[in-house]
Amino acid sequence: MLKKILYILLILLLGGWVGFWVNKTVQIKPSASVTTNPIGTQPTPSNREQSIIASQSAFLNAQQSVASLSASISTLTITDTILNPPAIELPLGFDSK
Amino acid sequence: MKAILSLLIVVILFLTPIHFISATAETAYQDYLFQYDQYRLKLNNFKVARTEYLKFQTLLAETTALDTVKTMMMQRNALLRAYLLLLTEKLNENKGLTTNDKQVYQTIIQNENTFLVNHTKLIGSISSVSDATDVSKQLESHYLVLYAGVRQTLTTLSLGELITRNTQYKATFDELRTLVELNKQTVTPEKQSTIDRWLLQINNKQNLYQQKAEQIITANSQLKGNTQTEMDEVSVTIQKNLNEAKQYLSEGTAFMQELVTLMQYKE
Repeated sequence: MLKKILYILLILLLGGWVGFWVNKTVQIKPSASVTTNPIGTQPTPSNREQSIIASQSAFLNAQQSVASLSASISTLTITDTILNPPAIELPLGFDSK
Repeated sequence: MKAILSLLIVVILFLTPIHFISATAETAYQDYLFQYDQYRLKLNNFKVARTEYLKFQTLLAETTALDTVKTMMMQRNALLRAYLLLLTEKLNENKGLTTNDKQVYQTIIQNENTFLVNHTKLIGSISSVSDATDVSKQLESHYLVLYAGVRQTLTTLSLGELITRNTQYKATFDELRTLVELNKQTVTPEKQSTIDRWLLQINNKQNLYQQKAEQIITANSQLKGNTQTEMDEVSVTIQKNLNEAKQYLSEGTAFMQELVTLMQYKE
């Protein structure tokens, strides 16, 4: 019984080891790619020094409020087309008799 | 067993999306679409019967025309009532309008609804083609009043959406102003001067919005016209003003973003 368990453990270990090496050798190395900056976009001003205000929670809140307002306005649709009045026919048209 | 059942009910209630519970405008819209489909169907049936009647003048054709015209007229009123209900629900859900604003337009809609209820009662008593023409003419002569009320309500709904954004704009502006006020000592006088100038420009955009909103309110309350086309033309002008009002808020918000960036960096 003990022998059987040892055999199974040995097989599992060997299987794991083989799987590990196969995986390691087959793995494709990512090819080196050239990244380009899109034309017309301004680089992030990472080299600019931040002011004392920038780290304040009040500033961060205000920044968040402005972003939220901007999103709210840009998604606003003035005319809700589903609310257009229904097109109904009024005169019954019996007069053309 | 009872405990499990209660637990299940609670779980189902929690899992039910909130819009299933409070989607009154959505329900009204679905009903309106259904009534619109029914109207198109009944109008089509009536048009076929009317053509037959005008062509052959038989008693059978007349009876069919009479039956279909009554059904169509009933459905036409049902469609208009479903549309008015949709507008009422939209008014209820609008967050920018005050209770008084809502009440003004809800009263207009209610009056139109009462007219349609009474008119529907008359349709039931139609017994000839000429009766049908007379009863229909009552709606035809009243329709401009109803249409004006609808157009006014639509403008008010759009304005309500803008008012919500304007409230948000004012709150954000106050937040920025307070922030500037509290940090006056930390910036150079030159930068402070720029900040003050930009704040003024942001405030000016809000003033321009306010003026435009007042123009819209005045034009909307005086909306008149001898035909639907005339009223549609006035509505186009109002629509243009609504878009301009939105544009002012949009430009002011872009200024706020610039101001935030200015404050974020030392230089």
